[in-house]
Amino acid sequence: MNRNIILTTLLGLMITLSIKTMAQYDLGFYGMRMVPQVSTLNPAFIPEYDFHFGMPALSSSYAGFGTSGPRYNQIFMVTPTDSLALDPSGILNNVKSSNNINSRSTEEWINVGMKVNNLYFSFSVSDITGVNAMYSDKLVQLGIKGNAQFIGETINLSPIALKAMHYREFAIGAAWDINDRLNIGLKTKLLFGKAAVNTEQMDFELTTTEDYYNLDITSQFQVNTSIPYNFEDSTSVSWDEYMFYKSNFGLGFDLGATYKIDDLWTVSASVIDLGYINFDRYLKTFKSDTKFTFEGIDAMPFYGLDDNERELKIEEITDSLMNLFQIEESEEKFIVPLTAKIYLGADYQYNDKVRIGALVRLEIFKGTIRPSFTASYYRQMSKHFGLSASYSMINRSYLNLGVGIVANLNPIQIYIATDNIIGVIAPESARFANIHIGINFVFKEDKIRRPMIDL
Amino acid sequence: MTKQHLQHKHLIYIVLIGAISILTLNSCYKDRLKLDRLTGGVWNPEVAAPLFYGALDMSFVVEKSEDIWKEDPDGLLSLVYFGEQITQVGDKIISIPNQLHDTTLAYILPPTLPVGDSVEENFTLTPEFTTPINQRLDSMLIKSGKMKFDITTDLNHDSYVEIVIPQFTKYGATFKEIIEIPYSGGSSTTVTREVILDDYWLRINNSGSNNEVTEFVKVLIRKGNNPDNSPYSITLSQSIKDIEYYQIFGYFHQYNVDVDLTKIDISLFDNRAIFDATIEEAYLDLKFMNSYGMPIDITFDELYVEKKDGTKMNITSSLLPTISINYPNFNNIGSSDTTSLIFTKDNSNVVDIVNFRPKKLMYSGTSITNPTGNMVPNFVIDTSKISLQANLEIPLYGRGIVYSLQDTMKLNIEDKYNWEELSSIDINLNTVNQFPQTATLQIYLTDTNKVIIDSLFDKIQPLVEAAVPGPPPEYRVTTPVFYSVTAHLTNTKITSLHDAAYMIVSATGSTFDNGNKIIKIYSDYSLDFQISAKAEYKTDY
Repeated sequence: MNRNIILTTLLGLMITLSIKTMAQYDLGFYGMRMVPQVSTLNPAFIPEYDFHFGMPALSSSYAGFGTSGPRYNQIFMVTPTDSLALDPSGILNNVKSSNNINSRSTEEWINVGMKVNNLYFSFSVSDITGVNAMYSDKLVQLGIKGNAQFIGETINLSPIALKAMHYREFAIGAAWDINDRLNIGLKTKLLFGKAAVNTEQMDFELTTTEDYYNLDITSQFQVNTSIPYNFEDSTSVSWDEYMFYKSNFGLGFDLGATYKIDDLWTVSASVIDLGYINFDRYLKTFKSDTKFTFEGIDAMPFYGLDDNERELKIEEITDSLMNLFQIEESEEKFIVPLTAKIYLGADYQYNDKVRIGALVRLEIFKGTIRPSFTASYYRQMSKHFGLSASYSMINRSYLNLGVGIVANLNPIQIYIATDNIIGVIAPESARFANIHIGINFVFKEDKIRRPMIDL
Repeated sequence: MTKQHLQHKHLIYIVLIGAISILTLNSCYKDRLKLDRLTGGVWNPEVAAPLFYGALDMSFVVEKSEDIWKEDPDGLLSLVYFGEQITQVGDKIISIPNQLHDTTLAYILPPTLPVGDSVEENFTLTPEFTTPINQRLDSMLIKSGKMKFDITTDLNHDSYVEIVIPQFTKYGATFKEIIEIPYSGGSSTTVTREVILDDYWLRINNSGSNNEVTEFVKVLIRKGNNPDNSPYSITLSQSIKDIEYYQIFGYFHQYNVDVDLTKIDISLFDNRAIFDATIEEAYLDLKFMNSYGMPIDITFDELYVEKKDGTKMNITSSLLPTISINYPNFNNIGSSDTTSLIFTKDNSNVVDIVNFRPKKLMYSGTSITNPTGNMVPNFVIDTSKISLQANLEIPLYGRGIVYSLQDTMKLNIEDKYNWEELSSIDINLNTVNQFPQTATLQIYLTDTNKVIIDSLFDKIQPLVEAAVPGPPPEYRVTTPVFYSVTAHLTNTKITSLHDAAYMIVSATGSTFDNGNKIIKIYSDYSLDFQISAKAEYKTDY
């Protein structure tokens, strides 16, 4: 086995999954209402500013990954020579029947908002990349231990799913302060897909028969891709074209509401990323719907062949083996739904400086719901500093302590938040880590008008 | 310090703390994740998969075999070994010698013949057509040959000679040749004429004791101004040379025609593959195809089989040693008449011959034409021959067939495969066997000097279990036998395989019940096999 190929593949997978990300958690960030970007989690949140704009390209940068399967230090082990090696046992012992792995990065280029009467309008432009995948323990067991452990059994490799996308989002939002108790918000997003790989269906069954080790394979899959890269001649479109072409149009909506029950209690709810992207460019669709039994290679045609003829025969057989999967390649437009998230929150205003919150977040991916729960504590340390602390249960991980800081140094606002400080400090031990940082320029009403008063 | 200055100071602190934190975290990540020290790991899967399958049926064996196979109507297969020897063709055995005949004709001119007139004189000649042993020749169609006339005369006048031979005809026209003899001075004049005889029919008069041809010769003299020097003489020297024929008829007496020593290889017992066998039936079919139009007897001088070590066994039969073979009649000129002699266990020792496990069958003989000496009409054509075909047919019908196949193959295992990373392999062989035969296998590994250094299997591996033959006389297998065997190869064995220079494949087997029962091999028998493997692989990557 070629060591380089394995290492490259594993590292590529890890880097892809950890850097390019899809599921934006921002659990503790949900309570940091001083930050205008909190409206990305609930468009009904109205910042306490009259006007704000983000520092271009630095207003909001989010990166995060999560997995319900093995952690980094369960995937790798430190050898006695202090080098790092894959740990098959660690992986196998920590994989569950269904596992997810996801990551997302968001880079906000522009963010601007303004209060007009009871409305707060916002506009932002962001690039979002992400991967969301599901895999089964059987798939991992098969890859690591081989199929001999399943002799005489039929294994279903489901769930297997992958959604990887890069798209640009133009978001226009409005939050309406209807009355003292109720706020509602709506954000409309114009989306332009850049690249995508999305599995419509991935069903595989493998039976290794007991007597002959025949492989009965059922394969039903459809993988839609829109990749501006030609794998046949290794050419790709120019960077300008990739970044600024306007096809692959999509539409998304965020809906939200907050309701102040009394002076102490406030509840909120939002649905984020309801929408889709219709990919119509650089298309490739791979489909297979077949069931076959591999009984080995017919030995009889090899009789009497010389070396060259044998080589040709092997090539012919290799091609025919690939054809067993009957993979059809076509160019079909496809729609990728966004990964919708539901946030349900409740806040308790403990005193003037302290707010305690609870948040349930539900993420819907390929028909499955991934829940998480967060308890948060927010303290306004001073007029200019707020501190957030959170505890989250997510990805079968029950010790995720998050922190967040926001500093309003008029007019500059700097914030940083993470939902798992251990994940930031010791990512190898975390199933989940994220960090969200940004710089805004925020202006409250008195600050805007003060120069005029001074005059 | 103003409030604004204080805020700016806080901002600087935050930026500095943030920058330091990021740098620290980045450094910390590198140290904690140790990605730069990623060396790989150990991959230790165990994979099970089918490798090969096939159906080794007799049609495949027959198709790939270099031997000749015969299938009976009931499907019983036989191996056939074939040889053919052809005698010299007819015109090389019965040849026509050159003929030479000289005649001198005397002639006196009439004294009163005026100058300018001519006079003719006719002669009849009957030259003899000689043969080597006084054969009687009736006729022949000449393929090639020539007749030459040399005429010498002392005539001092112009003349010509006309020769007519009614027994020579071509497409119905009688042979006629006029040879002018102009006088050009001198004491004698000589004229030569050559005639091509191709495609002439020659009918020979043999009513007497000789073969004769009648010629009519006319001499015409035109008297000139020269004096009359009578008597004159004309010497006619004629020859027939280089005669080859298409057909010849007559009675040719007795000739000997040799059947040269002929060898038929019998591969069934090659390479010591079969070291014990009892064949129940065999046939030796000698087929003579004779296109000579005359009685011929053939006597076998040698008819035997020979083992590889040179030991011989003669074929004995009540049909031997002399065989009279058929010949075509005048209505079948150009065709062959066939005489077939089949040696069976009832009239010969042919079964013993086969069970002698010979490597070759040898035969030679002598034939004699007109063996009784009775004068019967004979004919020979230029392509007449005797073809002797010998077929030794061995039905796959016997018992106690114990065989051993051994072959040495050069191993060329490429180093691009890391064989040492295979911890073990379990090779499964599943067979559904319709043959009433067992088989076992061992593979020996040798060094470059072909000295055995290891064996692939710990013990001789049984491969195939024999199917049970049915009752006589068919002895047909009706129910195939399923057999499954697993050979476990350890890493040590796999490494030996990789390091070996040659492997000696040694397979042995026998017919059902250790060869105690009679079996037959039919064309619809097959051996379905499937090879699968379960391999444990361990690699550092």
